[in-house]
Amino acid sequence: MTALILEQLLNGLQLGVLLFLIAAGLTLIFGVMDFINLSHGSLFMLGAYFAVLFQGLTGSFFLAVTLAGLGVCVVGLIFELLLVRRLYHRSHLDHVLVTYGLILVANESVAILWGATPIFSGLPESLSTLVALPFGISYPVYRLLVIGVGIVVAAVLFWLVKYTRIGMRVRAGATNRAVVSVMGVNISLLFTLVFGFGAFLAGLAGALAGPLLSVQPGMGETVLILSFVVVVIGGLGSIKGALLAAIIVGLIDTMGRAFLRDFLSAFLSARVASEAGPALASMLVYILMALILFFRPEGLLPMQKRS
Amino acid sequence: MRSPSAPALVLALFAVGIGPLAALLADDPYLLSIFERFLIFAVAASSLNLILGYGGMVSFGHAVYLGVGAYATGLLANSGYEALWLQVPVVVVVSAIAAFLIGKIALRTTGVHFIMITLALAQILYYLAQSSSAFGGDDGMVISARSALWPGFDAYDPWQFYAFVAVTALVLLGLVDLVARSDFGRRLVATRENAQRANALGFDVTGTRLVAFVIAGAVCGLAGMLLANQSEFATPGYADWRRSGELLAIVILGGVGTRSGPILGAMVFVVVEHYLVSVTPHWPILFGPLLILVVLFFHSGLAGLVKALGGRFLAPTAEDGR
Repeated sequence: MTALILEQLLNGLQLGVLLFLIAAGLTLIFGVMDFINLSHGSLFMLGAYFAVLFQGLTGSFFLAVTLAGLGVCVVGLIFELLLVRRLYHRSHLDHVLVTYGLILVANESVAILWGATPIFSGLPESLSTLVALPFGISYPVYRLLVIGVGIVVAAVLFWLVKYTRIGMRVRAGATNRAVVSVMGVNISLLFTLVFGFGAFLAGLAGALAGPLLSVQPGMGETVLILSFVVVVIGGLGSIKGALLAAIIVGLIDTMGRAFLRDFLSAFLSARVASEAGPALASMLVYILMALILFFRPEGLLPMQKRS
Repeated sequence: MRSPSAPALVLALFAVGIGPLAALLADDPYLLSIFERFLIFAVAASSLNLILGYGGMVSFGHAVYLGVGAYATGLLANSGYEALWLQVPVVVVVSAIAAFLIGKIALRTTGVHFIMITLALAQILYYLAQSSSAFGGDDGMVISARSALWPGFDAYDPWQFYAFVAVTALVLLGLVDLVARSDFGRRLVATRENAQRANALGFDVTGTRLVAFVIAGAVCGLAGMLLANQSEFATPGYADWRRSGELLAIVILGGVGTRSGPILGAMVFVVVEHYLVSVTPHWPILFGPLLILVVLFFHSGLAGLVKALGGRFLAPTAEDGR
């Protein structure tokens, strides 16, 4: 039982790490540009498809993941230059609608190019083995790798934002855009860079998630909605909040799906528990979000915003 | 309150008349079902327009009431309660309660938080429908009987059923219009324009918004009742967030905060969808760019276009601008 719980905790951590990669981009883009990007999930999906494509071309999984992240970054930069930058001064409703339109285009383009059925995302032999951990757990190497990469990327991200000049500008931009612009920072370049970086993170997450999920059109949407939950729970614009919320959401979602049915059957009849368990498990994070927003509408670790 | 104008009546007649006209000209009663869908989406979109256009509340979970209405209707019909006079109050009460609970939580927030929390709360109900075996789960629920009006009314006769949908849709569209033009509607616009000033003037801002939210939910629930009847089916897909996005797109396409916008938007959406689907299953790849272009360059939507082309005849705006 301990082994099972620990294994699910690791799974939860792995989901949390992936969610953080996506949510970090979303929350940066929101914090700095005040822009809601629904198509962030489509960038995630593109990352998964690009990884499969590049793996076929190069034969190397790690090269493919890196190239996929960079490829999605390029796509994101093109989006920003052609379309998104026209929208910064528009209302949030316009952001939602335009990026909703982009989701439709992305899903159908992918379906036309690769077909509507899931495609196979292969792992190299060396990564598809199990590794023995303490407490008698044997755990897939690949999932450990995802957790590791996620932690490294998160650390780099925090370092970038906290200690570099560009990170300082990003923080300043999130706090007060007008002043940063007046101080002579090239704000439109900063916006493009932030958007491209967010796209890179989403693409990387998609490439890493490919072997764990089924790679198909629309695969980004469930993840997108979960990431929005993360961003809102953490406090819009706050990277620290996104990290905290991503881990919470990852753990709660995974543990709910794994144990809620058994937990409920301790109090309820087996039939009711097997009916209510899965239903409640998929609703759990949304209920959590509603509760948190009810008591703390600004999220767990809100960003200090002056406008 | 101002009285309904001649253009509004022309628009109403146009909305319910075009379907039968097309069906008669093509001698194909099947066409009626397309225009039934158009009227149903017009009702749903105009209920969203009430809170979005007049109230400034961007709900990204409005389709959830389509689902609530459809499932309530389906559960009643499958348990043998087919009478419309029984179904309508149940659907109104159930969807109003759902809207009240969602609104109560969501209205504590504004802006982006409001968009996201309406989405998240709608997802809760979506997953409820999807994972509950009593509701048919992911496969949805076949509805065994359409609503019964009176002895002798044949709900399966295309013309009689169209008449039922058309009359119900007209009543609901008229109701939304009535609310929008009432004193209450003007208070709602005031809360959109400047919540602080509305508050200073003594309006209960949150209360006004919540009432509008509940009215919109109940009307959309009734649209769901019509949808359940029309398709004889209820599926979690009705409450999907993509459907909520579609409703937003319809309102924008037609023109936000205009009386005719949701009707024109729904007509173009449903008819374009119908014909594009027969051309390519990938029709959203054409609809997506259309939506983006409308948002970028054509913010007044179809209502604005009609207004520009035909003077002020067909598209009376209740309160100009957003």
